[in-house]
Parts: sequence; structure tokens; C-alpha cells
Amino acid sequence: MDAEPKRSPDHNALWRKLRRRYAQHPVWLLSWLPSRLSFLVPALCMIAWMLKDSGWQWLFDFLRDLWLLRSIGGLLFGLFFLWVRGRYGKRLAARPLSLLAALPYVICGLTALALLQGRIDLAVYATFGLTALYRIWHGRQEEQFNPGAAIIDVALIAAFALNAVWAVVALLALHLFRQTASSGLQEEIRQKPGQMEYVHRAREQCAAGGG
Amino acid sequence: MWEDALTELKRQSYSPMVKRVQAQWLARIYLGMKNYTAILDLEDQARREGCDIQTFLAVAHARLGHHATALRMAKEAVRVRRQGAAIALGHVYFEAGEYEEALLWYERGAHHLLQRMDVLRAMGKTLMALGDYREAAWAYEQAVRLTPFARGEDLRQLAECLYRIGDRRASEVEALAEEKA
Repeated sequence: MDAEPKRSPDHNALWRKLRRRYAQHPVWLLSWLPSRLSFLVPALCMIAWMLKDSGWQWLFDFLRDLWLLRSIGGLLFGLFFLWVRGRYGKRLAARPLSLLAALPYVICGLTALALLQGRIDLAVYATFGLTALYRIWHGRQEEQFNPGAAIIDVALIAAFALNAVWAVVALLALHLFRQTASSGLQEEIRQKPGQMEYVHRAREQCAAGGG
Repeated sequence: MWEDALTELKRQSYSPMVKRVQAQWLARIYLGMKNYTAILDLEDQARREGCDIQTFLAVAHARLGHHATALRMAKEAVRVRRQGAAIALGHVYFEAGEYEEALLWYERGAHHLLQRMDVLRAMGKTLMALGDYREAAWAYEQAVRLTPFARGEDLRQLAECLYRIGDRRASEVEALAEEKA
């Protein structure tokens, strides 16, 4: 790296702003992209299936295969996690694995099974329904329950059950908007522990052997 | 919190693995405690143990007002591509009041995964010094979102930036800063 950088006329130039925002470690992309795709692929597949239009068949097939691959990948990761936990994590393995911690992998397994049997409806219930249940359960345990998100999740499942395509589209768009909207700053701050509380929790986890 | 970290590090200093990087961790802790002379005192220990603390030394010198030494050390660290060297050089330029230059180096170091939060804070502070409160608010907001706990100082700075740009969230963020303190 050159210790004498080229002079830049203005810190407010567009490329400088973009660099501040997006010149990040590639690992950031690895965490950002799958989280978006894990929502978008099942969502688009659901819509393509509900449209029941032969013109969309190719898209539906492609997305279903992607969804299946993603679900099998998630299941394999879960099985690998269990194997590592039993093989190496002696302290962790001594404590029973909570259903809450295992639920994401169970969801992947059920989704893969439903997709292999060609039951898109069951795959949707497994992915969106059980994930909503997981979010509500997890949110209540961590005292981060978000009623707005829970209402959208429940409404989405209801709209799918009623075969209301445009309601599903609108709710998925709302879901995506909530994921990416920057307006939730205050809510995000509220949900975070204060510095002392965070240190106190970390100490407790260390004392319990989980740190 | 830094005192806790210091106690824990001293408690674990029997471990050869910890001993190998102890000077580096001590320098990080002293930097957090703003005990810059203690960092300078670590130079010999670090050399004996083959542990590199050049970037910390550069920042400590800069904060103690030894700008020429700090600049020389930080530039050397950048030249030999030491980890965190770009950010350290940013700090050195900031302490010298060369904010545009500081920002350039922070941007160069911002891709570092573990230091992203610190860099965002440093960018926010520098942008405030440059009078660009809109960009500073963005930087502090990202720092707040990335930090796993609500850090009072970040929230206060963010509230200040939001006030300056007339953002209606300012008073609420300020209240949250008080609440979380």
C-alpha cells in the first residue's frame, strides 16, 4: 500500500460516498447475500406457483430447484453442526440442545422433504409458517418480540391459504421493505442491551461455561 | 469495562498463547483507557516477545502530541502492510487536524472486518470535524447498528448530527442515549 494516497478533491464525491458504504470485507457479502436470497427464492417460487401460468413454469422449476438446494444445504449444515457439537463441544454436548436452536434445521429438513414430494404448499407452510413461529418464539425469549413482523407473517400465511395472489405479493413486498428499511433505527436501539447489561450477560455466559 | 479486560488478561497471562500476543492486547486496552504513556512503556516488552504494536505506538504518539514520530511510525506500518496500519495513519492525521487526509485513510482501512465499527466511529468523528453532519450521521448510524450493545457515546454523537441536519429522530435518539447510559 502506498503511504502517500492520491489527493481526492472532495470527501463528498459520489465514489467516496460509495466507497465508505460498500468497500467492505467480502465476508460481509457472504452474510448479506444468503440472507436476502433465502427469503427471495422461496417468495418468488411461491408467487410463480400461485400464478399457475404455463408461461412462468420455467421460472417456477428453476426457483424450486434453488429452494431445494438451499434447504438441503441448510439441513446438511445442521447435521454437521450436531456432529461437531457431539464430537468436539464436550461442554456444549453435556447440555441438551433446545428445540429453538434446532428449529431452523428442522424447517430446512421439512421444506426439502415437501419439495422432493412436489408439495409446494407444504414447503411454503414449513418455510414461512414455521419460520414465523420461530421468530415469535425467539423474539419472546430474547425480549425482542416484534408484533408488526408477526402480524405480517400470519397475514402472509393466511393469504397463501386463501390463494390470494396479490395479497401475498403485497405482503412479501412489505416484508422485504421492513427488512431493508432504515427507519427502524430507534426500535433497533431499544432492542439492544446497554453496555453494562451486555457485559453482565457476557460474564454470566462465561460463568455458565458457554463463553 | 477496560479495567475488566485488563484484569482478565492478567489472569490468563500464564497461557503461552496469551503471552505471545499480550503486549498487543495490553496496548489495545491501554488505548481504550486513554493511557498513552503506558503504551509507550510496552515497546521494549513487545520487542522482547516478538509482538508487533507499531500501529498502537503510532496512535499513542499522535495522541500525546508527538506528531512527527507518530507520522513516521504509521507510514512505516502502512509501507510494510501491518494489520490496521491504514486506520492508525488515519488517527495520526486526525490528531494533526488533517481531517480530509484522515478520512482517506479510514476509507482505505474500512474493509477490515473486525475494525469496521471503530472505523465507522472514526469516520463519523472526522466528518463532524469537517462539518458534514449528514455523512457523519450515516457513519454513526451504521456504527450503532453494528455494535451488539447500545453505546451511549455513539448515540449522543448520532443525536448531535441528527439535530444539525434537522432530522426529527434526534430527540428520540438523545433520550435513548440517556436511557441506555
